[in-house]
Amino acid sequence: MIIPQIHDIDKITFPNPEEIRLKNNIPLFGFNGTQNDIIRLDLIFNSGRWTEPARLVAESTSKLFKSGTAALSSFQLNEQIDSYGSTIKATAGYNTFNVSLYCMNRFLEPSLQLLKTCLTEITFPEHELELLQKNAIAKLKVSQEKNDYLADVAFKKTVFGETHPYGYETNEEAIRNITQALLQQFYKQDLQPNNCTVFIAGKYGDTELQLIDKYLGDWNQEQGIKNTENNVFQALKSEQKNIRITKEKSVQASIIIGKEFFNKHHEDYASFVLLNTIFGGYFGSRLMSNIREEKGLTYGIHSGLSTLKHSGVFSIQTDTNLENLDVCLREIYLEMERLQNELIPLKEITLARNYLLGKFLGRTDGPFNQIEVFKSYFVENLTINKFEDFVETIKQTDALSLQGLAQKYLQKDTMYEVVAG
Amino acid sequence: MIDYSREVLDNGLTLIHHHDKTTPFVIVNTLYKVGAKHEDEHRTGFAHLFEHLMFSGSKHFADFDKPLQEAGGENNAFTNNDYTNYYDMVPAVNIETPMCLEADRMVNLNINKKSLDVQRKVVCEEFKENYINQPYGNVWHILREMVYEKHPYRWPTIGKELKHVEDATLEDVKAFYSKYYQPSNAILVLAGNIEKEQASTLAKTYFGELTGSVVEKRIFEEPEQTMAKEKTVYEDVPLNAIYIAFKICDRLHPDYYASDVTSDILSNGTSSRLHQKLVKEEKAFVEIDAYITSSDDIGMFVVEGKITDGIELQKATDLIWAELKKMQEEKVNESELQKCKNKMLTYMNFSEASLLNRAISLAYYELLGNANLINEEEQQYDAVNAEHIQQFAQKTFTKERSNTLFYLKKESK
Repeated sequence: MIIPQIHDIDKITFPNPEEIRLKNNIPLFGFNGTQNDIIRLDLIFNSGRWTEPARLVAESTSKLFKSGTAALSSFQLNEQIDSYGSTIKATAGYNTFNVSLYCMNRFLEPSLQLLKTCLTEITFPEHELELLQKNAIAKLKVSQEKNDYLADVAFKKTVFGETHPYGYETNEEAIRNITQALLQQFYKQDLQPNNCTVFIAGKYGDTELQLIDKYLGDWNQEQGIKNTENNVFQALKSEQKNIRITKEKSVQASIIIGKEFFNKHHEDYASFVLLNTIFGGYFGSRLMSNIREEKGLTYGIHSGLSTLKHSGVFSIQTDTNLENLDVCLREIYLEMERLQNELIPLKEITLARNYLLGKFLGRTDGPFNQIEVFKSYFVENLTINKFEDFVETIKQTDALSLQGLAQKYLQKDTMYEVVAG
Repeated sequence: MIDYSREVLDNGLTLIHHHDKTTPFVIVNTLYKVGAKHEDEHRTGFAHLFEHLMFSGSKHFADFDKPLQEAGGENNAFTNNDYTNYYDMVPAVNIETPMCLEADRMVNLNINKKSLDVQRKVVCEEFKENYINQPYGNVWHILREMVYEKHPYRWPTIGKELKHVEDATLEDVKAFYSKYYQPSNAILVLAGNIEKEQASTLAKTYFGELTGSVVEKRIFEEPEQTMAKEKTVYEDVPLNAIYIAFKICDRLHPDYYASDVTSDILSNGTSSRLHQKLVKEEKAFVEIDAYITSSDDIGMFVVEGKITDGIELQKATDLIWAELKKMQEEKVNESELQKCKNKMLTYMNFSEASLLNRAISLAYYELLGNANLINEEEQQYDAVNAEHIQQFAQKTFTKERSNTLFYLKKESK
């Protein structure tokens, strides 16, 4: 059998989006060109946990985003949206409030009309809030039975502190404290056109753009709204580095090791992404090869960098049998040390780099991938040409600089260790 | 409309090609017609364990993943009760790398003790992580055994019990490989930025010379259910839950589409019946869902819900039955039906935007015997009318055909 030669991936380029302004000056970015006649439209507001007046208000607003207006009950509103086969969905992030519409082009107009209703007319009826609170508390109890959930909550609290928007925990008290007035205040203050950017992907032409302008372009800014986007929070890190949560009758434990980290603005970002890939970022990584493929201690182990607008998190996560817990932890730290003490062989770097370049290529593939990447850069205040810079950096990072990064960022004594189980 | 072409090589391997020149990628998707239903009752979990072993390297490659990753590619696999599916996605310039790798592991897999030992442990950790150490994690173990009397759908893909996986021997594994991993038992889909001629030539170059035996197609039987079944278990869970399951038709039966639309009428979207009535109005359930299992043979229609604290089990059960009865007694009105069809159509359109989804769907429909279902299903769903749904409900939702599992918290004992 002749083993085929591997070719380098040609230049990776990220297409520029179409950029227009709606009548009321809302910026719109679009990626066009799917086969099917479908549109995904996203509105992103500078908002989220960062600007909410009390805990869980952003999230609760998103969950009650279709809870009814003065004229329409929740059921009537949802039935209308469903009748076109469309989906309108709101989610609250740490620094954003996101509203998405998925629909077939032939139902774009009525779907936009309903979207506009959701953006401007929701009253957050008391009985809808009460039911949400009751069911959220019940679902929280189910989550609290899961080790990975418990570990994740404890980890964020440890790294950012209980009062920080990136760190606070969902608990019964916070759920009970949500009021209709808080939701209405947040909705009115944050969901305003001057705080909004629109993104579209799918197949669209002038007709679709005109419809979007018709419904979102005549949306007027409410006067006298104060923007709270400039809130400042101080991360209150825990003094204690090791957190152990014991859960009876567990057969496995969830482990998270990590710390607060930088985001995409940092000069080491792209080269660290390569280092992380080698360490625990893909199936061929050192953590996976050693702890899963060599020792069979876990079903999966991953490390990753998640970047946020004002910060970032680096973490390693896995689940393992309780009796193997110590071996597993020891091996994770050992792999960190190896990266600091030994140069990574060229072959291993090439492998990880090529894999990563394949991933970057994938992010340029088609309007739906493009819009995802574009939005993620946008919310961190980065222009999309950074994408190609990152690709270049990844191509050029060598063994010596990877070792330097490991020495700088992967010191055991800087890490928090959370074990739940 | 998704264009594709189909060709069967001399050794029985089916090739399906689908061209999409807008993507820089090609997908090599290999489906083997073997799943958990082909396992021996006393040695379950095998098809899935074997999927793990397929990454252990083959005659010409010490490792499967590395050459593929070096080619800028990504890969994964999944196993279900009916089949096992492997996919590789690479930049188009490197199409030959996965072709070579897949062909080699189709007949020259390196099955050895070391990899079996490790993967047995990995699968046991997977078993614990997803089925033991999770609230409600063992529901499917219980429910499948309740619903099916004979059919090997009685056990889930992960295996009936940990011990079956722990006891797997090298001989068992080798026998499984030589029985089921044959060119004639596989469907190869090449999709993406590759021309038809090139796809055909490459398939012949890499797979054409592989020889193998023919795998006999097995027919599985399952008797009609004539008596209601009920079971109660007590576990460490925070909320009482109820599962009501009915056996339904197989995937190719004309009723299949009516069954799917029925489940959507009951629970797809916030305005669906179960959600509106039982969660919002009655406040009897924290969450509720109705769905079908979409298996090749006799499938399942399942209604499952987590019950609000303080609501009696009997009341919760009655409320579900009242909605099922309503489906039998009254015809669904046109607008409600159209709503579900529109949702289905939107979902299908968005799903088709992904090349990987198209590739996997083509392989799956070919397994069902008609790759063109990828283009026909839209009409099949559109043809479902209120009579079909009512007939389906009348035939299916009867007490004698029901299987009810009460999954309760320990304190309520």
